[in-house]
Amino acid sequence: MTPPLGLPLTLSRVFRRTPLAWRQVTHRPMRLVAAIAGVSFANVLVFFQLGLSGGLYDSQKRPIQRINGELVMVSGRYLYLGEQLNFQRARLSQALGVEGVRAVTPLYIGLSEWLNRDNHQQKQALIFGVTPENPGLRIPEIDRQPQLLQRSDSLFFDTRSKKNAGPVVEIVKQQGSYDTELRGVRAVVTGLFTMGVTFAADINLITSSTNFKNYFPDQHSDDIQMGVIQLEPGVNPLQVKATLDSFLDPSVKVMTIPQLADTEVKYWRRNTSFGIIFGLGVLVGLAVGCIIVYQILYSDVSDHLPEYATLKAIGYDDGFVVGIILQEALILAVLAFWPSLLLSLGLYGFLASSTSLMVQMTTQRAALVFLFTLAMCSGSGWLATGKLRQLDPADIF
Amino acid sequence: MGAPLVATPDGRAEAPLIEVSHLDHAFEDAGQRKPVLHDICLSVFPGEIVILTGPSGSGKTTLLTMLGGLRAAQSGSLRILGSELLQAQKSTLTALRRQVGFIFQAHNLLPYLTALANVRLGLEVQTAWLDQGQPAMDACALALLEQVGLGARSGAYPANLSGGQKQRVAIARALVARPRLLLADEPTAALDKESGRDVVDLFRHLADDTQASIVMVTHDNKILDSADRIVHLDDGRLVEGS
Ligand SMILES: Nc1ncnc2c1ncn2[C@@H]1O[C@H](COP(=O)(O)OP(=O)(O)OP(=O)(O)O)[C@@H](O)[C@H]1O
Ligand SMILES: [Mg+2]
Repeated sequence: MTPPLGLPLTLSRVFRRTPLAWRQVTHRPMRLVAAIAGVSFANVLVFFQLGLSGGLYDSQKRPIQRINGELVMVSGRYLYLGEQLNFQRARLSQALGVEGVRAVTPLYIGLSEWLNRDNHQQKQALIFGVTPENPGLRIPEIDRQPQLLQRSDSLFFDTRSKKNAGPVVEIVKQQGSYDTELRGVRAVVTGLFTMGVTFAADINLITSSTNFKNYFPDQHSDDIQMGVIQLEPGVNPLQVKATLDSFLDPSVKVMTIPQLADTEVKYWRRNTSFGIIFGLGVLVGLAVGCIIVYQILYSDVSDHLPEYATLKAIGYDDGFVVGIILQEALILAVLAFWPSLLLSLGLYGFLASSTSLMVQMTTQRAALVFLFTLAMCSGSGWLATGKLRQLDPADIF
Repeated sequence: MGAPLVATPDGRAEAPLIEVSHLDHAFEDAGQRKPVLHDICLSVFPGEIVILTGPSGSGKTTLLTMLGGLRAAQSGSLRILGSELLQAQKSTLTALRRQVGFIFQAHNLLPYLTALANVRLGLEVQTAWLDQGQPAMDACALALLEQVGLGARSGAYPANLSGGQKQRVAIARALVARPRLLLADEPTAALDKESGRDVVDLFRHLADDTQASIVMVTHDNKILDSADRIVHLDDGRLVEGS
């Protein structure tokens, strides 16, 4: 009957038609606003869950983002920051000969038990040891007052450490230092810095490489846990990594900073169940959205059943009539996405400032939620058309 | 499609547009078979206006919906515009509906479209009209609205039209694509004497100008004279009238 149509012709026909779906959703503006508010709310729920779980895991990258170089060398068995896996400092020196490498510096990393002087409980502390001439971590507070690390027992304390460390920040601010013990060895906090804790420990500390050895007396003096490799300006880290990979002993490996950060996030995703909890939260958000969209479109179908039957009686086919509802679903999805994105940006700002988690909006996450809402709306739109597909125009008259 | 040639009452030899023979229909009602139409035989020829009368519940609407391909036929034979509708595919029914104008007892206008856009829906279902573009469709729809006396109300939404005006918009929608077959269920019920007469005149023009067939259900004695033939349905059986 109708000849097969070329796409341009079909498209031009689409634009000549009365945009029934658009007319229908905009016919009652208050109802449309309520629908958009409902779908936006579901989107914001999803953004919130993704933001918190993303923020929780992204926060694990904080020390890594402070690393003062482009490449790191770690033990071949490296899994995450905080596991004390040693290798010989001589391995790091090998990297110095490679073209494009400007300098190398060791970064000592270890876990120890911090004594809360007030309640005599011990808490995990992650300790970094840096060489004062070329620190492996970029910490502006130490750069400003390097002399505070000169005492053989002095440390800098992360102001974002958990409260169960004791009133360290207050006492350092009032009296200049806080005395305690790390696994029985005297430790004196002489300075403060701000970085953010990870799942590895409740407390972050930074000290000099010489002091570090006092807190880990068992460690061989040639052993290090991480080597920071600093490149000449404009050198491609991946190229240097490839060169290093080609001759280095397999007991060590070289990673770029993004690779190291990625490894860290993956490790914690595997070893914690927050992902599942927040995943459930995302599902709840999507379910709420589905119910709202279904409710709106279902009542639209029920309210206008005789009109849809009339369309069928005039000669519009099932696909056309079902298409109206699906288009309405997509219109809702698109219209509701933008307000929810705006709201979520505000929410993320608030979360980031009030929780010290790294809650950031990424294009990827926005695109993901957009896909979610498209799927959610068209899925429940399809469900809502069940009645329409079975609708026999004769039964209405 | 060798439809048999039958002589019309006025002697023309043409294929009928509607050809019903031995059609039965029963509804399933709460598990019970409820027969509504018995052994219906009816032929309607091009240019002919047939009026269908009968008491309430006698099956007039049921027969009309079957003629328009809105309800599948179960037994007997139902040949409309050359296609057999007994156990027909959905796509056959849809294609048939595009050539049939239907005026329902309820007007069923889309509330979110203006009168003009509602009428235009009757054109947009035809790809040939779509290809002519929106201005052409609007012009045609407006001309039809003028013919039913609503040219000045073309921009109004159904909520702002009276019952009779809504009925006339629905009539314009059914006529706009020049259907080969027009099925009308009490089209003048909501109209005053004068506009009822106008509508019937419109039907007459359609039948004379385009050789369309028209089957109309009505209780309105004032318009019985416009029919070429009157058939009477009584308890599901067809009785040929004067
Ligand atoms: N969908 C249905 N299911 C069951 N029974 C039905 C259905 N539609 C109609 N009927 C029954 O079929 C019979 C004929 O109905 P129909 O609507 O054809 O009558 P009608 O002649 O058009 O009456 P009216 O003049 O009141 O419009 C009635 O008894 C009605 O109750
Ligand atoms: Mg009826």
